[in-house]
Amino acid sequence: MAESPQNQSANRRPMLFVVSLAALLVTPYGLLLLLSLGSGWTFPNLRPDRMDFAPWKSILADRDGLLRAMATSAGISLIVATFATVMGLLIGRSLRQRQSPLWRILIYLPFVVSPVIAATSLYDLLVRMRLAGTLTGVVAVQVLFATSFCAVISFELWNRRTDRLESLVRSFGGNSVAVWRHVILPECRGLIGVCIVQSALYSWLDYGLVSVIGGGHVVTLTTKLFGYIREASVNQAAMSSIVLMTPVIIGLSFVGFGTLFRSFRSRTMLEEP
Amino acid sequence: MNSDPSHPALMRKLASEASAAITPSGLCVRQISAGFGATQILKDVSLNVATGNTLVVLGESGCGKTTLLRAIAGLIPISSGEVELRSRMISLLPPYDREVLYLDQEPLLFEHLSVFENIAFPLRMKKAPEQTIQSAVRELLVATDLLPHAAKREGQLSGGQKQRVAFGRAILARPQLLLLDEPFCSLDSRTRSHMQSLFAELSQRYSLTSIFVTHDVREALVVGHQFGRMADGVLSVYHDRQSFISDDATGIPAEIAFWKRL
Amino acid sequence: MGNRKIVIHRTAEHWFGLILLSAVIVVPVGWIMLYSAAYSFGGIGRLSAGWTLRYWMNGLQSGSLASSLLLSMAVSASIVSFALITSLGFVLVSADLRDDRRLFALLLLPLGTPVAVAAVVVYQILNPGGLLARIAFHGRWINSPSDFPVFVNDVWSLGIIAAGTFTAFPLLTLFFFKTWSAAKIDKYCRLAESLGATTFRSRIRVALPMLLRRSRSMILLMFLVNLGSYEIPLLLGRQSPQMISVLTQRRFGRFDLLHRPQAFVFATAYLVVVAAGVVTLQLGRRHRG
Repeated sequence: MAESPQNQSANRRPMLFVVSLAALLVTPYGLLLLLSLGSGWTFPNLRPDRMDFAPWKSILADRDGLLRAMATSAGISLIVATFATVMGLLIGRSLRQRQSPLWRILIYLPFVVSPVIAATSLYDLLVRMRLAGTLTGVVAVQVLFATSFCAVISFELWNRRTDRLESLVRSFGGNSVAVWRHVILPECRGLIGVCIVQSALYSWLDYGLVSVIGGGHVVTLTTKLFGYIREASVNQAAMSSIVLMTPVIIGLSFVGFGTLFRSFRSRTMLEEP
Repeated sequence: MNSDPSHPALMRKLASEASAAITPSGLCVRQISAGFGATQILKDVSLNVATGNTLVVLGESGCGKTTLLRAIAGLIPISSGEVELRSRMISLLPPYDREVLYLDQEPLLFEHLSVFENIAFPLRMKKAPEQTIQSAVRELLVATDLLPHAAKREGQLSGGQKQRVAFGRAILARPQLLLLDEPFCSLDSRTRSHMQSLFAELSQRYSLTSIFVTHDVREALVVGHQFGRMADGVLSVYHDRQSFISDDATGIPAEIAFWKRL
Repeated sequence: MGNRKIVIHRTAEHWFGLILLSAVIVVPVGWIMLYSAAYSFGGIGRLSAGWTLRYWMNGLQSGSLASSLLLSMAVSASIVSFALITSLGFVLVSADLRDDRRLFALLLLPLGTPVAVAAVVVYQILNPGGLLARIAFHGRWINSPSDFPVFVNDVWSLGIIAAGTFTAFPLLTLFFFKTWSAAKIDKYCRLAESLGATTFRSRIRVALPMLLRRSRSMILLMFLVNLGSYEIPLLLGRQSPQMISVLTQRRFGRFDLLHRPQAFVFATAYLVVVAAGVVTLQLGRRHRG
């Protein structure tokens, strides 16, 4: 049956919004990409003065230590994600048994507090512990905040079925190892994945904590980006912004490939006799 | 209360009083009360279940049947009374130390394990020898008609099959007491009928002591050896099957009269 | 079974979780709040001369504390409002596309954009020498960068609001899409239409209130998070007044240690506001059950 003109127009409306949204969202990234491909951006040029790929060439030569900064960021993210996920899961689980809202208030506080303001209060303590200006200090404070994220996620997304399975396993005589092996790890795979990604991203993208606690001695991708901004190096700043977004780009590629694969498969299935 | 000895209410009272005597084995629940906040859900409930028997508790929604099971299982605290199982006081023990298994309409299978491994799970927790596990599980797979499905996972099973796996697993766990909370209510009538017969057969074969909660009188008659009825948190236990069938409050006489009129 | 809690007797593992909570979160958070308060009242600190209200009086009398807090709240509220309006508008029109993976991929891009990058992008588009100014120049609407309106480092914090909205919009949109599916709002809208409402009215009178009711906690949470924003106001904010995180860090980082207690006055005031917000959030959820 043919679609009515009203229906056709109604169906087109959301797509129009999506296309407009796409244009609005993609333009800024298109600009970033364009600026990263050249050198200079004198007013009123719409593209860089010279399209010489200089910023990307400088990464490979590691003239500015950007590769090292990337490695530092990646290493810190991995450590923070590991610790925060394990601790956040344990804390979130324990809080399920607690009725008092005080505990929930306590895990939400680091979730919303400005890391920079928190870092100023912790700085003197870290100086006394000889952790200020060190990688360990940065990791320790990032773990604090990332653990709070993971605890909140674990607490809020915990499945009631998991509690019931735990009760069942213990009724069968299972100990804590059995509970983790047969209940928590299988049932909470998605939750654990979310915690790992969230805490790794948090660390990867953090600037405030690194700048205050690291005090310029810990060089990460974000401190490099802000360095380029302060130097008004537009092209370097654009390039390091794109590098900073690598996890998102990888995630998008997976989603994109998955969507393409699914649409190819469904079309193939439709065509089969 | 009417003093006529044949009066159902009096019969129930006599039965309750008789059953209040301590049994040397099986389950003995003495005047337990439980509730949430100011609301009392269970009011001085007493019952006895002989070893190997199934006590069926009939009742409408919201009468406290589920709360009774959860209180015996230790999943909710009791405000007064005692629970004794095989001469062991279990009222203050945590749920996993009571040797009581609680099952409801959600089968709760381990989705990462096959049917075989799900059923074998309790024996693996007890570190039983592999040969024992293989033979015991195989026996149960045959008894529950699950042998062709042994390698399958939860996602590949129907509702009835999942319930059979949950049963098989519960039997192998050899609990002192099995608590079943309307376990078949989400199944279609044919599967449900089959499961009732299977449960009756297996509980007889493995001498299971259970409390089975339902609102279906037919189901109650198929699976039960002892009978009780719950209303507003108060449990009345019947002396025998006949007194259960004769009581108007169960709805059975009215049901019989209806079919006879057709 | 409803929402009845399962009682799981507390094993050693649960107590370990609570010990971890205390060590990793409770103690540091307690330190942050108490240290900040004590420093602001002169009780501790390298140049401490004893408990005093002097720093608080300075902050209040100079107006810097009040103006910074008020600015932070106003900017945060603006970001949340704009993000709410745009995401709600989008969702109400495009709810049928909520399972479209292409749309999800599109929203993933700004969702995963670091706030610092959002600030850089907004700066490069909106500053007097940025993309929009260049387009305006080529369109002969302006003759030089100084003719272009000021959108960044400006009095109205437009740049901060734009960057904040850019990062908040995708999160809210995905949240509303998920809420739409979970609450089966489709069914309610269809019911309203079968009772005589137009599609537009069913979305406004049925879908919108349902979405807003379920997003109260999320909105408050977003407000609190944006209140303490640092990177965006650092790049796009004006010199005075500054948002609270930037102001605190700038005072703290000064060479003259005599300015430190002032920084802690700002920090303490901010922490009190945030703590009140979190308590409100939890009490509100408890009340709703």
